Amino acid sequence: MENFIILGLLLSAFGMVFSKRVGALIWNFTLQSFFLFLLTFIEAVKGGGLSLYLVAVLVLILKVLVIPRIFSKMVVEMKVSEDLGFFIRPELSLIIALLLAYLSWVFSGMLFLGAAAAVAFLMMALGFFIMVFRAKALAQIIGLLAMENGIFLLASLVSGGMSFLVEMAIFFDVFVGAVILGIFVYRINRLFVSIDVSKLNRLRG
Amino acid sequence: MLLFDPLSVFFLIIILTISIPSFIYSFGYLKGHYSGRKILLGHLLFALFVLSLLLVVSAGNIFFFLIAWELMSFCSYFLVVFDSENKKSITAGTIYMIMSQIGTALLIVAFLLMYKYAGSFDFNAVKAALSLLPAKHQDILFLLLFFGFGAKAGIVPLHIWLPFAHPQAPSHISALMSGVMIKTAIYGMIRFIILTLGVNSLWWGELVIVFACLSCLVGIIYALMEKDLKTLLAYSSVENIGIILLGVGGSMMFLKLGYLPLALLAMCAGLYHLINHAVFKGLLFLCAGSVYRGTGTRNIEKLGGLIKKMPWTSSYFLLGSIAISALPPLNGFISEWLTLMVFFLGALTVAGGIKLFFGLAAAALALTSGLAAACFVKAFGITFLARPRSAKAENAKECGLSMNIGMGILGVLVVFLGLGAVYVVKLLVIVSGSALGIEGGQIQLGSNMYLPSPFLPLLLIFFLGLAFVLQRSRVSTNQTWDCGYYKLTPRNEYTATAFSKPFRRAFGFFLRPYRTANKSKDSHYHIKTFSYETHTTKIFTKYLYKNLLGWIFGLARNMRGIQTGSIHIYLGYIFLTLLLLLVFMGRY
Amino acid sequence: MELTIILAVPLILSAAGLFVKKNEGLANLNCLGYLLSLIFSISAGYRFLSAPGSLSVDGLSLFFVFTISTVAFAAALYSGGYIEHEISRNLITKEKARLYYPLFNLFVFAMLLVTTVNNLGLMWVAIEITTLVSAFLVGFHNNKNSVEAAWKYIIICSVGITLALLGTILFSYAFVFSTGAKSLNWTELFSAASRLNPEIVKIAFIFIIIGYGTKAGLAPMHTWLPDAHSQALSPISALLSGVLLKTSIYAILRYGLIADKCLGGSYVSHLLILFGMLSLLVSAGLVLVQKDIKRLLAYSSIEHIGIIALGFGIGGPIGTYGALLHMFNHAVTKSLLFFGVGNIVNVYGSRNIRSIRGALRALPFSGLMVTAGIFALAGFPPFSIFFSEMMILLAAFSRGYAVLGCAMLFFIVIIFGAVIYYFSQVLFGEKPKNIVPYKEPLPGRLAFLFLLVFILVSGWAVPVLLDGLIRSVLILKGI
Repeated sequence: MENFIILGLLLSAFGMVFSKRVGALIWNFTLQSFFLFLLTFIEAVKGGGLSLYLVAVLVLILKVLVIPRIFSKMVVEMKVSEDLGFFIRPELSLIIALLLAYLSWVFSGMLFLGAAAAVAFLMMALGFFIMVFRAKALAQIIGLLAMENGIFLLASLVSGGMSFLVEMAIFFDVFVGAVILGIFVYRINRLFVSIDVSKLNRLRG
Repeated sequence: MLLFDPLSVFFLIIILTISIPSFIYSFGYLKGHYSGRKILLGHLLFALFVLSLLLVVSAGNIFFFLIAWELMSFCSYFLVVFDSENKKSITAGTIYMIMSQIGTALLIVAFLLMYKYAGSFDFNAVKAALSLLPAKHQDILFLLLFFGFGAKAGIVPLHIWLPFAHPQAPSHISALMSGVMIKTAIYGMIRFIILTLGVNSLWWGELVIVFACLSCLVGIIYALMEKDLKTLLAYSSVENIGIILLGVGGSMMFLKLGYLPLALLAMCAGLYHLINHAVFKGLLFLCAGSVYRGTGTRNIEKLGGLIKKMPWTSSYFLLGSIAISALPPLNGFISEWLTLMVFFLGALTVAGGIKLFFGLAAAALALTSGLAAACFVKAFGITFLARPRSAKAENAKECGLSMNIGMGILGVLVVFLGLGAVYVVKLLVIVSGSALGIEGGQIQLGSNMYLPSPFLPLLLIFFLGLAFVLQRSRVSTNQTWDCGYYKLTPRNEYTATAFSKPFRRAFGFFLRPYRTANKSKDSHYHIKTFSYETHTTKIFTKYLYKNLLGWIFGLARNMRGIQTGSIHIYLGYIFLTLLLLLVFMGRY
Repeated sequence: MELTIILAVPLILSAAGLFVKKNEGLANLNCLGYLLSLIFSISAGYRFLSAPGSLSVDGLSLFFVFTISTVAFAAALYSGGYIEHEISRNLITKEKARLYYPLFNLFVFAMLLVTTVNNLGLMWVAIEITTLVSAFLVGFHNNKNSVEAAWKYIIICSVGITLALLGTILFSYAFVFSTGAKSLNWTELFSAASRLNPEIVKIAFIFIIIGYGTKAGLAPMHTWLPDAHSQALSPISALLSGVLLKTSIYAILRYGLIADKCLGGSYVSHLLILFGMLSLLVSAGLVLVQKDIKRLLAYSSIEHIGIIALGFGIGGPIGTYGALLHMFNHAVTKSLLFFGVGNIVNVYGSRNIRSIRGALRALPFSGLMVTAGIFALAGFPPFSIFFSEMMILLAAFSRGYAVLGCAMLFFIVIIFGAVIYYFSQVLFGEKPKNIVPYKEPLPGRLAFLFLLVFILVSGWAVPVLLDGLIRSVLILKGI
């Protein structure tokens, strides 16, 4: 069962790389978060205690329901174009993504970890990839959240999750971070009449 | 913390000798030109500057020396930019500070290497540790120290800050900077290279002498071309540092070759010139300041005829000029004569190719003194003789009492150091012994052999008497013969540029003179104004510093490309760094 | 007890923002609060020195608490006048200014939290909070430039910090891997350090140094720094440059202690030296070609962070001592400069170096302070940075990094030249006619003088408290 979920995580991560439109990206992210929720939930059922249930519910509420909803609303409200703005062609994106997959595999081996951890690293790497190679501000936020999803997976794999307090604090941070970034996206849209962050190049040198 | 051996005391005395008259002078110089608060600030900075100078030469360990050294740069910077509204002062200050910091950086490297070898900043401990070092390391230390101090001393090609900083500082500060501050670098060389490191290769001395000759000649040739009175004096300081270093370098060579008496004599000559230069250059800068205050300009092409308006200043300037031109019986003559003597004696005593080396050095020195005389004939003649060339010179006013006292003290010292040479040398032998780390008593110098005997004052009295007699003979006043032109104006006078023309031709290979002519025309046929200028190329600035700066700034401008403004590229940096580190981590 | 108060003060102050209506009242309240906080940080420090076991934190934490309290107190003193001036120039409205104080307090709280928590996960959370809060302070003016700076700041630092989170998890994994137990407690990790798996620790530390290094401003992850520092309000620039960067260095140090104990040898050192050298190189190049006066200072911060990293990398008792002392010295010096430059920028209405002339005439007091600060920053005696830089250089030469020491000096001289070149034009020269001389309010002046005392004193005679705390860190490092 877990293996299928991990496969789902992998596929949704690749799905994010191939998303050409903001909507698709958000949808893939939601999917990824949902798989993460499933994984945590199964862990909890297997005997993680109450706190793990709580974590699972939080994942569900925040990452599957609230954050994607906010972003979708923002896209509608700001009336920005749906296009994500690719810096490189999709074929090249695929090649790089595959290369990153290989590196994640090697890397996971270096740390005496298995395939599941490799997927976690890949989720991070692809999140990073989206942040670097996609022009829109929303893509950067989602990339960041995808990286955090990867970390979440890794944390639950290697150390059975962090202590409850820390986990909650991190959740809170991530959520607040996403909200604040959302506020800044509004400001960018108002001042620059676009959320293409590659246009933010007044400060240089 | 502090150290008072004869060498330190010698420098302490020089510092006080120059700073006291300068301080007296500064009251008259600053008054009326600055606000009361600024004058107070000036005095405060002056006091701090003198204090830091005193600390430099009496610092008891290397770290303390470094702090005092930096404090000295710090105080003098603010004195250079004292006229802080003036753009030229700001530029001068910046150039001064940067050159001084480059030198200090070299010194810091040297000091830290010393600490590394000795594990301590104590002079004696360092000395003991350094003597065990392999030759190569000692060579590196020598080069670091020589160029590190050289930047402060103003040896060519590190001299570029002097002609900027000295003219911009208030004159009493110029006197102190040129007269004393650059000498602390000589102190540093003696203290660190000769006393602490020890002279371990012959080529060290040779290198010092080569740079000394270069400084002498380049300094005086530039001075000859100069028409700003204080810049001229600044270039002349470069020349005189060269002469001092000739003595020091000669001393290093003799020390290595094992001719201790000659080494002692060479050091004597160097130190003698050091104190002489301090005194007469101090005097000349004070005079230049007095001229500046009296007329409002430093451009000697605009001056002339000041001997009538400013009799005191001009007589002091004449005194200083005679001294700096190494004419007997004043002090400059004695020290340059001693230096020449040392090189001739060296050439006679030492065997092999070094004979030629000493001979050449002596020739360079001789040429320098000749040029210096020409330079100061120009400086004095154009500034003080003939008729005023501008309204500013016409309305010149003699300086006040405090300035006169300041100059007077130094003037008396110039005479004293010339006539009392025998007594001075006796003291200098002790100092030189301390500077070379040998007991002065071990070696007896038949000093009278080399020196003009005390009958010189008698000679002076004889000449003065002669002059008096001659002056009483008939004087007739006539008009200058002007080919029947009848309308001679100051514009017909000989100018500084014209005076230096033969030299510009003779040293054309080095000065690279060029002319620019500017015509502004009403029409094709009628020229409204015509300006014609002669310039010389400052080759070190043009070929060395400009290129270096251009190179560094070019590199920096390229580096701006790092900060592209694109957040995606910024994130890419992080990703790339991460990847590279993870890949190359295997090395560990 | 003291620590609770120190942490509670900024929280209470930010809550006070809801009740106090007047800006002046808030400013004064802040001054008092941070004075209290400073006093308690001093008393905590002394208590630690007399009885190390009596507090829940160690000397390293207290060192940073003291540094943060010092700069925060000065910034609180300075803020009142600065905000008034901004309001009078119509840069911000009165209503908006009320937002400033709670954000300021939260920012300081988060930084204090970073240095006092023992749990590495919570430390991460606290560092993330500093980013989130200060992003608003960077984007406070809400114009194109400041929003751009804030966006870059928050995104780049968040990415960095996400990598740091990965590093944190890998450290906890290493702990689980070797001991079987689960913990993110620094003390436990540190005591088990020698048993941790070195391969994992090596990789984990790379993530830590890149992650927190991004927030610390180490090149090539420094890219957000000049933008954020130049756009933030000046008291915030001072906090950013003076202490925020250092809290990230603190985090790196915490992990460095574990990694060093685990790996031994030179792994951590070499990484720190690498990033330190890169930072020096980048800042030396970019300082030369700056047009914006606050950006210039920002690049100089990168330089000093580089020097600090080099100091820790070179290590040894002298190197580490020098680096810690440099951290404090740079914090006070750079804060002073940002305060002074903040006043200058406000009076001239421009950050462009070419359009500011004669600042010493227009702002005699701030100008004088900036003059002193510039020479202090450039490493001139009698100011304190000279001494800490010399310590680091000394350590470099005596520990066999002579070439490194020379390179470091080379860059320092270049930066010195650039700083003197630009600042001599700003400070001296003729004051433009249309500039009205500005008289700083008393608290603002006190802020300068307060910092100046440290700049003048802490080189010649390191204050007993700092000295003791630094020595306790040396003991912690086992040197």
